[in-house]
Amino acid sequence: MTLISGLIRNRIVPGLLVALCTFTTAEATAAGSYKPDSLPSSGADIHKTSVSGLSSGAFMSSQLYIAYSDIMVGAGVVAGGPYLCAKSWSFSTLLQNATSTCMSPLTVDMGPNTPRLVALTHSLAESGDIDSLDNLKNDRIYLFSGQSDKTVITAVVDQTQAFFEEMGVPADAIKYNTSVDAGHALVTDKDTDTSCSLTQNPYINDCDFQQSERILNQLYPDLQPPAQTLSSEIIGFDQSEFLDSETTSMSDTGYAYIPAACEAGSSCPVHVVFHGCKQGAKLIGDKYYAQTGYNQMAESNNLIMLYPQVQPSGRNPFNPQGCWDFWGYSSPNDSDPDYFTRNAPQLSAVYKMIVRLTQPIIQ
Amino acid sequence: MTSPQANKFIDPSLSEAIQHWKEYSDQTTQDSVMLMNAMTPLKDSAQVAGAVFESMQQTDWLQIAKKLTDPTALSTAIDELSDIQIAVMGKVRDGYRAFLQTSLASAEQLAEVPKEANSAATLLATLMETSLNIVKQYQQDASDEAANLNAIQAAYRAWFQKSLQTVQSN
Repeated sequence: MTLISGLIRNRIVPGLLVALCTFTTAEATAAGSYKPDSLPSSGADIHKTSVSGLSSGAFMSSQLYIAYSDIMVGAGVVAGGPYLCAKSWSFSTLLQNATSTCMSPLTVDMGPNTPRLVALTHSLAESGDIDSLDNLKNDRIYLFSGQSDKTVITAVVDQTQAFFEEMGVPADAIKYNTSVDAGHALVTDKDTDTSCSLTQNPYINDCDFQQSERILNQLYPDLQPPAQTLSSEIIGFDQSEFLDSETTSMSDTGYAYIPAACEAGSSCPVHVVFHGCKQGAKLIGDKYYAQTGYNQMAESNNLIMLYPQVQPSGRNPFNPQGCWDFWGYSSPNDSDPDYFTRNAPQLSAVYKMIVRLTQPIIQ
Repeated sequence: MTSPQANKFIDPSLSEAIQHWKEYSDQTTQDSVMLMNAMTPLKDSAQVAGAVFESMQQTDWLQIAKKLTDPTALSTAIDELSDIQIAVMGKVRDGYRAFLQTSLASAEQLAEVPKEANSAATLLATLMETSLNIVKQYQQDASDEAANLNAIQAAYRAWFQKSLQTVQSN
C-alpha cells in the first residue's frame, strides 16, 4: 500500500519521471525482487573531486575531504562542525561530544576544541592515516550556517572555519555565509519547500537561492548556470559491493547522476553529496538527490554527482535517525572507533565508489 | 489480536482512539529497545578512560600546580564557569516554563473534553485522545530536558579539561 500510494504521489508531480524510476528501484530492492546495477565506470578525473553535505552529511564531507585530500579540490559544509569534532573533550564520550559539543554546546567556549582537533589531525597526517595536509593549501571551501539554526549553531560552524584556516586553507578561499535567516536545512529556491527559517522534515528550505549552485560555484569557479533539462537519468546503483563491513548502516542502493557528455568520456570531475540525518532516500525518496539542484548544475558543467546513502538502523549499529557516522557507530564493538581515516568503513566505501567512476569507460 | 476497527459495535471514534494508543505503545516499546541498545556503559567507560589517560599523559601537572597560585591564570576558567552556570540557570528556567505551559495546556484540554462528547463512547474516545496528546507533550518536554542535561554535563566536563589546558599554557 505504501509503495502504491508513494508511486501515485510521485506520478502526479510533473518533471519527476526520472526520479520516479529510481524511487521504484529503491522500493523494489527493499522487497528483494530487484538488485540495482553496478555503478558504471565513467573515466572521471579523480584529482578534481569535491564533496558537500548538510549536518551529519557536512561532518562526513569534512571527513572525506581531509582523509582523501589528495584527490580533493574543496568541500561544502552546510551546518557542520570541524573534522574530528567528537574528539573535542576527552572526559565525554564520542556520542556526547557529537550530540552536544558539536551541535549545540551549552556555551560558546565549551564548543569544539579546535586546538586539540588541529593537533590530532596533524598527528593523523604524520602517521599516514590521512592524506598530506599540504593538499589543502590550494583548495576552496564553502561554509554555511543559518541564523535560525538551533540544531548546529553558528558558533560550531565558526570553529569549522577556524579549523580549515589552521589547516592551511587560505582565508580568501573560504566563503562563509551566516547572513540568511535559515533553519537547519539545505537551501533551495523552490516555493513548495519548507519556509526558510523553520527546522522540520525533510530539512530542505526555500530561502530564495539555490545552495547547491553556490557550493559548486565556490568549489569550481566560473561555472555555467544550471541546465533546464537533464540529458540522462539518475541511476540507482548497488552500494553493497563497496561495503567491507556489515555495520556501516549504508543502504543497498546509492544514486548518481552522470550527464551524457560524461558518459561519453569527458573526464568529468566527481562531486559527492551527503544527505543529513532523516534525509536518506529510504525516508524522503528523491527529494535530496533529485530536487536540490545539484543535477542541473552537473548537466551544464559536466560534473558527475554521487549520492551515497545511509539508512536508519535500530541496533548494531545504533543509528536510529539514519545519520552519517561522525562519532563511531559504524564500529560498534570498538571503544576507539575509526570513523575518520582512509580506513574508516563508510569513508573507504565512498572512496571506492569515486574510484569506480574514475576508471576507464568499458565500451 | 483482532483489530479494534473490525468490531462493528465499537464507536468509530473510540476505535480510532484505541488504535492511536496502540500505535503509541508500540512506538514507545520500540524506542525503549533502541534506548537500551544505545546504552553501552562498558564501552563508554573504556572510551573515556582511554581518552582521559592520553590527555593526562600530556598534562604537565607540576606546571599546573605552580600556576594554580596565580590568580590571573585562573581568571579565564572562572569566567567560563560563570558562563556555564548562567546558561544552566537559563536551561532550568526554560524547563520549568515548558513544564508549566504543558500543565496549563493539559488542564485546558481536559476541561474541554465533556463539551465535545455526546455519548459515553465519544466521551471516552475524546478523553483518550486528549490524554494521549498530553502524554506526548510531557514526553517531548522530558526529551528536551534530557538533551539539556546532556549539554550541561558535557559543558562541565569540557570546562574541567579546558581549564587544565588553559592554566598549563599560560
